[in-house]
Amino acid sequence: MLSPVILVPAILNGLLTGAVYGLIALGLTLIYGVLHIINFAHGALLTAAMFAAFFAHRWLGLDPYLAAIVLTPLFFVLGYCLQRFVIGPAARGEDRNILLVTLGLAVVIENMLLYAFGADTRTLNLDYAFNVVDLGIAFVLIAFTIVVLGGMGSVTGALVGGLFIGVVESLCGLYLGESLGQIGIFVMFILVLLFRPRGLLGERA
Amino acid sequence: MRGPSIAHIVLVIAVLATVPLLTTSNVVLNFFTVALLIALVGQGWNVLGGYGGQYSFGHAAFFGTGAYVSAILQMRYGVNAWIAFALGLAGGALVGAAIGALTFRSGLKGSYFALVTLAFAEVLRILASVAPITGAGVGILITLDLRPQAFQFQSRAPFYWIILALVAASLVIVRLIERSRFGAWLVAVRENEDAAQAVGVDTARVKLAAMTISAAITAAGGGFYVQYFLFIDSGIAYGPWISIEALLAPIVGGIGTVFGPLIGALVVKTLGELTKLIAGDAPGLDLVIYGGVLVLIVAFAPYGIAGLLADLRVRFARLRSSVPERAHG
Amino acid sequence: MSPWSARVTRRHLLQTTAVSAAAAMSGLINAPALLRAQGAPVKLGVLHPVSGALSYSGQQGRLGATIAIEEINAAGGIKALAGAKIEPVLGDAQSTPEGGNAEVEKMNSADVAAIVGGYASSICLTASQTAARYDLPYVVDVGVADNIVTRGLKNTFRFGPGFGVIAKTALDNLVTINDQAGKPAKTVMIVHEDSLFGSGLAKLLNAQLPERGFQVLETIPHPTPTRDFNNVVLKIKAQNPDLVIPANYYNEYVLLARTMQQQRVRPKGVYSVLGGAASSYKFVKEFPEAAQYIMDCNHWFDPRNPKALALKKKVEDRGQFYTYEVFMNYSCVLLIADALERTGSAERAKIIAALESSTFSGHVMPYGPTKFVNGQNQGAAPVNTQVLGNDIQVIFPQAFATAKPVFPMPPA
Repeated sequence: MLSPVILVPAILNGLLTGAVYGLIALGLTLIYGVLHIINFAHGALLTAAMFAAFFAHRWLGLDPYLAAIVLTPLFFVLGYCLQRFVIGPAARGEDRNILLVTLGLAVVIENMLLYAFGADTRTLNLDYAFNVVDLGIAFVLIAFTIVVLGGMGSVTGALVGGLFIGVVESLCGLYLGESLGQIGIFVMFILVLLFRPRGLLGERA
Repeated sequence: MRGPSIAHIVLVIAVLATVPLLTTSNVVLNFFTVALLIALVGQGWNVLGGYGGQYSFGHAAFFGTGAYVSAILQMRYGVNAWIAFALGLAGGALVGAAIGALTFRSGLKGSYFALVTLAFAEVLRILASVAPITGAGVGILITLDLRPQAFQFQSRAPFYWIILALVAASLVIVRLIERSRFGAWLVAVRENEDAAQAVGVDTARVKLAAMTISAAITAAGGGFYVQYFLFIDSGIAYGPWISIEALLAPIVGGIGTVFGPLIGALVVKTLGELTKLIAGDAPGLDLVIYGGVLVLIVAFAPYGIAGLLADLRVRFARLRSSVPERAHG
Repeated sequence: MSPWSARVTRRHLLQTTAVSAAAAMSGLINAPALLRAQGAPVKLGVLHPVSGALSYSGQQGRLGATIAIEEINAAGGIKALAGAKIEPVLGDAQSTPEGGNAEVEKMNSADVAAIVGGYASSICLTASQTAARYDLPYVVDVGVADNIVTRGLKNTFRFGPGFGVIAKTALDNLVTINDQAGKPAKTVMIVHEDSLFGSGLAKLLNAQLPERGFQVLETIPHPTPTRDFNNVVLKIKAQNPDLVIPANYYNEYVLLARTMQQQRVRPKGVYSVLGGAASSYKFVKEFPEAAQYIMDCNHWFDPRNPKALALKKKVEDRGQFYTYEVFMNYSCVLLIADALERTGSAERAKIIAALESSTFSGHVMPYGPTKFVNGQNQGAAPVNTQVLGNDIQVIFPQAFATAKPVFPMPPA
């Protein structure tokens, strides 16, 4: 059994990361709840946003928190355009197609970023920001897990789910090792889908 | 539902079989071998996704199992390579049946199904990256042993013919499914599962069977990969790359058709080569093209290339029928 | 209706034709590979993962190789072949074994005399195996897996050291450094990435550390990529080892170091073995505080060799960092050029023979003259470096040292 000296900070770390996850999942659940679209490109857009914030800092000296104020409407417009001109027309409303189109979009966006900015990390010397293009894929699955766990379309669900998953990830990493620990999230995902697909706070499908 | 006949399949296979006789370039042979491998894996996906309408985003789970089972049996237990290959196929089918049983029993469909298959593939990938038996991070290297008994060959041609034979078998299997009652049930499930259930189709059983067959075909691809490249690790076996290739080929070529995955694999691979030629060493650019193609196909040619061709034929026929006097000119 | 019906409807014909057309088109696209002409220049395949996850390392490797080729050509080419220039045939392994394999096939069709590169062990393994079919000499630039040179392939040569030598050297040197400092270190924690490179190394370290009198408290694997090292550092903090031994790639190494700095975890020493950033000028430049006093046992150039320093300047003038992929590939190309000079021929078999008997000293590594046994260069070994001030110094072995080790780490 691990001592509280490690356990408590680990849980706190988990909550911290979980809060970030929750925020990400929030976007996803909003999209699904209203439009019934599962947006596979969510993670890729997240990475794009991170790069935008990075360059805002690099070129304009903008603190990331300030940059967020500017970037939010910018990405709102981007999202609108994507839906109006790409996803909507391409998918013609069918669920399956939307999944494929957003998958395609995700691959396109991530690799364009890879092409444009290379594969190495960018760091902001402020606190913790860490840009790797790979992050997009990792975040997508985590975000989905949270959304499904919390219940598709439920805002509270996304936030609670985020915190929960953050802690699960942290503790699994602690007990199973960082490599095997990643499994915790996916196993959680599978279990929720198999036994309670509507999640904790979602509505009956 | 009038697909191609067995005779057509034989014709296509015969044409493809001449490739090693027409060229001595190993570059070309390698290209075709890899394309056929993707066609095989894609055909597996096609059974479940194209005919059954259940889109899996985690077909790597079967590919990787076929590969690892074969590799582990050969390197850790000294099993003969061919037998190991067959057992790998069986292993993949088993995993397919297991995942199918779990997910279909819970009634997962559509996007949920896609996501859960992705999750399963990831779980397997992580397990494979830490388990000692898979060599964990180090992966498994098959000892070089260029003898037919060891399923390895000095020349590339026998590999080509073997993958061609596997693809041929998959074409025949899909053809038989298409014309069978099972196939009709499967398509009914795809079109409207509730209605199918209402008229008495055992939808759970049908989906499970489709999943198992699908997994077996894809697992065969995994087993072949191991013999051809002689190396496997968790990222190669269970990574997203193969899950994406598995679905891209049939979607591009023509979802729910016999030849779709084959056409799609050849087109996608050629596109990849073209991109390399044009874009030079731009990192990631070929994947951008893949993603873009996926979006375009879904948008403009949801039935893939086969669908486009069928469209053309219909238009051509209409054109002819609109000028009856000239038809016999 | 019998499945063997000979009725050929237009649609089926179209489908069949489509398949055949796709096949023919695919064949044509690849035809140019067959038609590449042979000329006086000697073609050298330069294979690296310049796209995909390993693209930075791949591009650095390619840089080193191409600089070497430029220099050789500028100095008059291969004299023994009447001044024949070396013509690079660049290949992108796309960070996967299939990519590497396909490129080797193309290079073979282009009639390259030899191939250099690969970088990642998995790519080197498959690429060299494919090259072996054509008796095509393959010089591994970096790939450290031991089984690269234990497969009995006559065509495969590795200029740099493998795991086994690296682990042994790292431990020998650690013992010496520890002894010289009065043996302050006894307990160790290993943090490694979980793929071929990290796992392989960790296994060796785990086997050998106890024999040398060290106690391994814990071995922590992590995936590449890993976004967060807080829990890992928590464990380090809790168990308080004397030494932390990281073995991972650049990004994770940096994050680990920074997280340790943030959580104020300061063991007596950070002793990396093939640490991803531990001997990287980029790391030192971007995070000087986190990098201080970090020791590494890694590939490094000979700091007394003027050629190595000239190359460093050249690379930095181009705005790039002088990383190990650069100088190792540079040296490998020079090695091949030497083989070409000695054998006076671009024939593959002769090049293999020349490499087998090679005693080349014109490289920039601290290896002494080359000597290949079963494809492995016997003199190859890593050296120990430490980040001191804003620079990376060699602290061991004495023959190449430019500074004395600072161990244990002074308090913050």
